[in-house]
Order: sequence, then structure tokens, then C-alpha cells
Amino acid sequence: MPGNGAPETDFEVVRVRSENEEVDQFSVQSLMVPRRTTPPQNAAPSVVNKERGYMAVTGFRRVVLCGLLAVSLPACERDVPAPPPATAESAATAPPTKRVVGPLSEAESQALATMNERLMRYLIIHKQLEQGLPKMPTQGTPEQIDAHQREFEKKMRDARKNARRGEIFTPEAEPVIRRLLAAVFAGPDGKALMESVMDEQPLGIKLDVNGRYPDTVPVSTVPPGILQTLPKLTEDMEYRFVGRHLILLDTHAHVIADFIEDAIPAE
Amino acid sequence: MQPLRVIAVLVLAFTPLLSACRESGIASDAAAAQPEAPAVALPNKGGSFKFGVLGDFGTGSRDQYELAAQMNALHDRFKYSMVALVGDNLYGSERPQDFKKKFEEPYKKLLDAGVKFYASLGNHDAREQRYYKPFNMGGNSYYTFSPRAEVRFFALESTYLVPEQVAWLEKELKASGSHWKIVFFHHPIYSSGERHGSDVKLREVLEPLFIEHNVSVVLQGHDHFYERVKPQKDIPYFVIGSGGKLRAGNIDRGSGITAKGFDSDLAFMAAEIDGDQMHFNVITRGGKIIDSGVITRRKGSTP
Repeated sequence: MPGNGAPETDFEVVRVRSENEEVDQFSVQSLMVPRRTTPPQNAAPSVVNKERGYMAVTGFRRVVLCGLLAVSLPACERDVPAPPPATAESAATAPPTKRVVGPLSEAESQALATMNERLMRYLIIHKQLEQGLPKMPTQGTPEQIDAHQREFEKKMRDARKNARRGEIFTPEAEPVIRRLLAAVFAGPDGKALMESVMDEQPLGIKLDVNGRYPDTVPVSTVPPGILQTLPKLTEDMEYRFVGRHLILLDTHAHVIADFIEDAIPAE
Repeated sequence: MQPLRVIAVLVLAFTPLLSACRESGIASDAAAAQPEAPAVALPNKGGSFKFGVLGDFGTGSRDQYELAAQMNALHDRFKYSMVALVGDNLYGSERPQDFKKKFEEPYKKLLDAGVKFYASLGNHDAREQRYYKPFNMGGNSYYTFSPRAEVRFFALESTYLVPEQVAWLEKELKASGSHWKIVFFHHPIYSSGERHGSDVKLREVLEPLFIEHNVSVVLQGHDHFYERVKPQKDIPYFVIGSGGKLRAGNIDRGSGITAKGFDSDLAFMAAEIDGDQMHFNVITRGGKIIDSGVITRRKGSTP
């Protein structure tokens, strides 16, 4: 992975049977796990296929997977905005009501399309897990909100316990996001933007993919000009900054889905 | 300052307004209340729309509780029906016990009396607050509501102003036929705060909409003091970010935009809309009114 030191990973969508469930019952422990050639030492026997390697998708699982995707993907496709097309336009000249992810070459557009696809896969897990929880009332008590959020956080973190940086902000997408941000910060208002973003932001916070967003860290402002130029997300996901890092925050689960280290260019 | 001295100063400073209040029985009740009641200099007319504004309050500190006591005392004689919250509703931990300590307990009397709180989110607020019933956000991080036919509020999420939110605001402002369009959010687009100050990037996006769609008043927080900003392009702006935290001495006196600034105690705003006028008082922990005035609504193209 150029530039960020994260390991090379490829991903496949699998469904893993839980050890303590009935044979025909499947729980979503992980729908998106790194493909490995060797299993970790503590891997549960049920997820190892010695002949085909760790997390190999068996025929039966493949059927289940296809069924799951057949059900989940159309819903997620409806929810996830279309990836941005290649364009010569930029957000700098667009009205504030319009999002322009650009300028963007064909290759960059393709990189962001892959990121979009990874986001969709993430949301399959997210939605699947959220559906298994009591519905969050729009007029809830603190107890309901807290219980829902912490349970969701736990399930999400369990489901993605093998998550790595770069799963959503892929190695191809990351430089595109960096370039788009750099273009905004390089503008005449770059200093004001930086001040707005860094307002009350602590430095030196260590982030973990799939970790809980730190409770004591206020959320950063993400100025409108930045939101205009980043790919659109669903309602449950937000871009935020922690220090100079750009994070992808799952606002329902309170979890950092992925992040780009030092995404804000140094002054 | 001793309570009697406070009352004496207020009587001298607000004699004309207090005269009007005496007729409605407000001033005569002031001395009897516990804690010391603010000397309210508002018309307090039957049928007018009365509301409060509070920001940056959810600390759970003694100071917050003392200001809350003034809000409670005020409600005894000035029956405001709602409070607009301009963000930073809970600082730090947001466990169930924090909602109680930092919100439900200090404002219990108001909540029990049926006063509705409408929240906007600040940078210290977990996004989950939008599901909290007493904040009346209906699960939305930005929303609009109309407590009266002639008044409409617009609550914005200023930490995350996506283009879709801007488009939504434009559409809602345009569609609103209310005489009073009041927008509230956390990050000030006009403020003399040395710590934060004006967010010019937000201003570039929001101000043209406020002007075009005839916004009447803008309520903001984030800077921990009170400031009434001189009308900017004919729109009055307030910073009311001292509901629980104070940044003493933080107003830049040289900013040139301050009509009235107060950064030596916590404060909240009480307001009353009567026809084309909005009367307001800003009241401290000690019950002192540190700013007061009347705004006449912008008429523009709105009938």
C-alpha cells in the first residue's frame, strides 16, 4: 500500500458459522475479513478449511453468501450514493448546495468506485447487525440510546475484528482523497479552514480501525467546502477529523470504520 | 453584589420597561422568589410567543445549576413554552446518568411544567442525542418546527454542513411563510470570541441564504460568553454560549461588531415575540439582566 504502511490485503465477503449455533443457523461474525493464506493460531476450527485455506468459502457458505448478498445488496445499492464520475469540475466553483468530487480522472473515479463498493459491503454488515437490535426510537430515553449504541458497537467490532486500515479508504482511493483535501486546503482560505477543523482537536490521539470513537474527543467541524468535494456517504456514516487524520465514523455504532493518517496536509 | 443592590440597579436601568411589566404583575413578584428572581423587563403579554435560548450548558456543574435555577424562577412569572438549545448540550461522558445530571435534573422544573427543549448539536455532542426525547430532534441532526403559525425555527448541524443540508435549508426557508424565521446552531458565523470567533467558511454558505430568505434572527453558541452582534446586513446575531461554561474576558473588544458583550458570568436569553417585535432579556446566574432590547422583524418579501 503506497505511502501508509498498511499491509496488502484483499477482501472477500464471507459468512462465518458460529461455534455455538445450530448447524443451519449462521451469525454474522464477519462479512468482510482479510483473505489470508494461513489461519491465525487462535482461529476457530469451524472457520478453517485446511485444503482451501483460511476463510475459504465452502459451497454451502457460498449459497448462503449469495442469498445474503441478493437480499442485502439491492437495499444497500439503493442507500449508497453512486460513486462520483470523472469530471473536470471542482467544488471550488460550485454552489454550496452541489457536491462536486473533482476534478477527477477516469482512474481516480474508478478508485473511488472501489471505495464506494467497500463502503457498501461495510453497510451490509452494519444494516444486518442493526436489524438484529431493537429499533432505536426517535424519541428515546438515555438508557435506550446508550444500550442500543453500545450493543451495536460491540456487534460491529466483533464482526470486523480483523479489520485493517485501508479496507474502505483503499490504497487506490486514499491518494485521491488526499489530493482532493489538499486542493481545498491550498486555497486562499486554507488557514481559516485549518483553524476551523483543528478547533478543540487534540493532537497525538492514537486511532484504531474498528475502535470506539474516543468519548472525550469533541467531533471536529468539517467545513462545507470539504464536504462538497468528498464522496457522498449514507446518513449513518460521516467524515470527521481527529487531529490531522481523516476518519470514517459510523455514527450509529460510534466506531471508526477506517481512517487516513495525516490526511490534512502539513502547513 | 448584594441582592437589594442588584434590584436597585435594575430598577434604575430599566425603569421604562419595568413600568410596563408592573402592569402585568412581573416586577411585583420578583423580590419574593427563591432564588432571587430576575427582574424581567419583558411585555409578558397574554397570547405572545415566549421562549428561552441556552447554549454550551451541559457540564453538571454548580454554575450550570445556578443558572438553571434562574430559568426556573423566571418561568414562574414568564411562561415561556420552549427553549432553543444552541449546542454543547452535554460535555464529556454521555452515559444515562450524565443525561440526568447535566440536563434532566437542573431543568426538571421546566420539563415538569411542559417546557419543550429543542436541541441543535455542538461539537461536544454525541450524534445519538438526536434520538433523545426531551431534545425533540425526532432522530434528525437538522430540522425545522413551527410552534406558532407566525414563528418558525430552523435547527442546523453546523459541524457537518453537507450540501444536502444546505439545499434542505434553502428549500425550507423558501417554503416558509412564517413572519419570524429564527435559525439556531452551534458555530457562530459572527462572534468576537478570541478563542473561536466567526466561522467565515460557514458564513460564506449560510449568510446569503439568511439574507435572501429574510431570516429574522440568528442564535449561536460555541464561544462561552454572551454577545449581541451589531446587525450584519440587517440581520441580528446573538452568541449565547454561556449556559454552563464561561470563558471570562474572551470577547475581543476591538472586533468592531459587538453591540453588547458580557463575559463575566453565565447567562441565558428570554425572548417574547409579539406581532412584529421580539423583546429579549439576557439574564445571569445572579438574576441580573445584562442586556435587553427589541428587534423588529425584517419584512423583506415575506408578507
